[in-house]
Amino acid sequence: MKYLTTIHNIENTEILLNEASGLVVGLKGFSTRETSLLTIAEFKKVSEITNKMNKELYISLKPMLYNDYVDGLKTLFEMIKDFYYTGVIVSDIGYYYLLSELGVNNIIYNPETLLTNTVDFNSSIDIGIKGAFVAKEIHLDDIIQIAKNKKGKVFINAHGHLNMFYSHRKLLGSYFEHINKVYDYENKTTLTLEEKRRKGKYPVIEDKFGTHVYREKVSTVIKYLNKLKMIDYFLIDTIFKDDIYAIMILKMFKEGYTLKKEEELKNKYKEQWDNGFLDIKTIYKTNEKS
Amino acid sequence: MKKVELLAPAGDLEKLKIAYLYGADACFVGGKEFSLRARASNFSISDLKQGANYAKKLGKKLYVTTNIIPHHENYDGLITYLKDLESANIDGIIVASPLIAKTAKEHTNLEVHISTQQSILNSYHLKYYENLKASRAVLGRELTVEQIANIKAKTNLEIEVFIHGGMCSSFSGRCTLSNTFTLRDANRGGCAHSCRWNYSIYDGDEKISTETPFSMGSKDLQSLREIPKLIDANVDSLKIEGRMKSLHYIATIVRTYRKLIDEYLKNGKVENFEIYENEISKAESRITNTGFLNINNIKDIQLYDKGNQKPSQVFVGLVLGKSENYAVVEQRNYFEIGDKLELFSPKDEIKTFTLKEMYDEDFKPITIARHPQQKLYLKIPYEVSEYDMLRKTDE
Repeated sequence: MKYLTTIHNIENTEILLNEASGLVVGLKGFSTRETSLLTIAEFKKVSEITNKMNKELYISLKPMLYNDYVDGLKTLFEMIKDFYYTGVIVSDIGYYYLLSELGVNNIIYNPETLLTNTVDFNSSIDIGIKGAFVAKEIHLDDIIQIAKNKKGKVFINAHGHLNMFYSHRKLLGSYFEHINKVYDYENKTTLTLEEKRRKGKYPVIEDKFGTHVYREKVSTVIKYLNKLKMIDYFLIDTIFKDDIYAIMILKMFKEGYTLKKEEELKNKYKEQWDNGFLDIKTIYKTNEKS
Repeated sequence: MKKVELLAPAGDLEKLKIAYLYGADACFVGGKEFSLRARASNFSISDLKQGANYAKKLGKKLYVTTNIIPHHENYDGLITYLKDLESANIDGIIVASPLIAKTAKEHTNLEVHISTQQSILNSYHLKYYENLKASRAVLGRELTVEQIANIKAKTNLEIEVFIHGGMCSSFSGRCTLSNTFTLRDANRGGCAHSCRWNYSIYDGDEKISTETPFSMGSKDLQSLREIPKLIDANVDSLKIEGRMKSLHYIATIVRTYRKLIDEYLKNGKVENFEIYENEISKAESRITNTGFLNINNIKDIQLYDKGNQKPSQVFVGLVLGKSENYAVVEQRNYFEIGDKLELFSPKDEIKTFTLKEMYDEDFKPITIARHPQQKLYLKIPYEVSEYDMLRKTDE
């Protein structure tokens, strides 16, 4: 069981790696929905520290892949070919074939919603992918079943705001243009959406890759850790938080959950937690009559 | 010029027949299991047998959607169901899950098409499905015509592209808004279309949206002017969305694209797009845009407060056949003597006339057709055939 975390400030690399087994970082121009988008120089620095500490380092590529991005990615991976890193987490299986051509190994597949059963999970492993994230919207029973029958490493989004909508469209920009309002919205992490029948506020971000909407509450698997022992990697995603938060959450996962710790964290960061879909089954609707 | 397949949706057997008659080369329908669009009136195996037989007689194809992203509870009955589909003599299935693709390849000889739910946007992604022995991929809807041409040039798989109808605002298959807000699983047929709801935008505690609500809902896709470019890009299949749409919608949209495609294939150019645009607007219920196909129009892709629009013409009757000098018509919407009607059919030009004579089933003269599915006799000054349609025009 290993813990990975995201990072906000590379000056905190060492203190985060004192608690985590590894880091997941974004790279400027190639990554989206990350807590930091590192330049090549910053990535080199993090890489060196991680290597020195004998920890793991993953590059996260969450944008959907377009053929237009291929030349840029080839240049990127040529530039970092001698840097230390453990693997690349990709959202689109096309990255696997591209990166394999470039000699990049240890690809982890994270399509977020698609790996909902054992066969689909293992189908990605069969082609040479080393590990994959289980879908974020499945029940604990499905996760356990995948983990029991896994052919590769199983990753899980263990704690953080789950993304629930990813569009290629620049939805905030289009809206402000539509209402003739000038507003500084790009890459801003303080914006939320509110739907009138629901009281929640859902974080929304627009960046060069599109628009991203998140769940309001932090989803956590902390209360089900004893049932998730077969999971290989737990990712703590601290988007909308900070590195101190990452350290506190990592400690809680490693040292044990208490209600008191949960309340302290929730009060400090003014947040609510839920168990995601671990204990709720979504409705399979095909039997509905019209 | 290479022939391209025009692929149409159908929610029931009647719509299936209409789609073929009005020009579809192939249709896709939902089965009772493993299919998205839970609220469409999906086909039983018996319906599928009838539909497939009808398609075969016309030399056309029938595909069935089995495009859920399954959870373990959905494993049960999959092999039997796929074998049943094969025995119904359909041509292929549209799948979003490797589980269903592999099972179909292992237990049946069905063609496997990869659904747009996989959001395929690059040529590398296609290698995965080549390995799974799929024969076709439906590309994601976030591609320009140029990007589609680039992908098509790099694969041996058949490529299918959406040309008309509703669109997800999110990358398809990647959205859990519905799951989160309503527990209805978007990838298993329950999408609540939460992206089309109205939202307010806040920055911290300050509301920054105006009275015009923010919505992620998209205009519908309409790509008449992009069709020649898609044909030139060697796209194999052009797909119309809308298994839940009406008979009139299916007939109008299919007929219009059929005529445009045929004109382009015959003459190498389209003389006047406006004729086709005018025709298609008669059935549209939402404002349209070319989506991502034409990069120049992307700024105007969202719906916001523009809401729905009414089709400019109302479908009032379906021709069942002829009886002596009268057309036998099934009523579909209110109309009356004096109304200006259009007669349209799969092949002939549209003809307009004013209704002067109408009789009920007992051949008693009537002035108003007010009862749904009432059988009527109409004096129409043109030749009519079964499955021609009548619509009321304001013009």
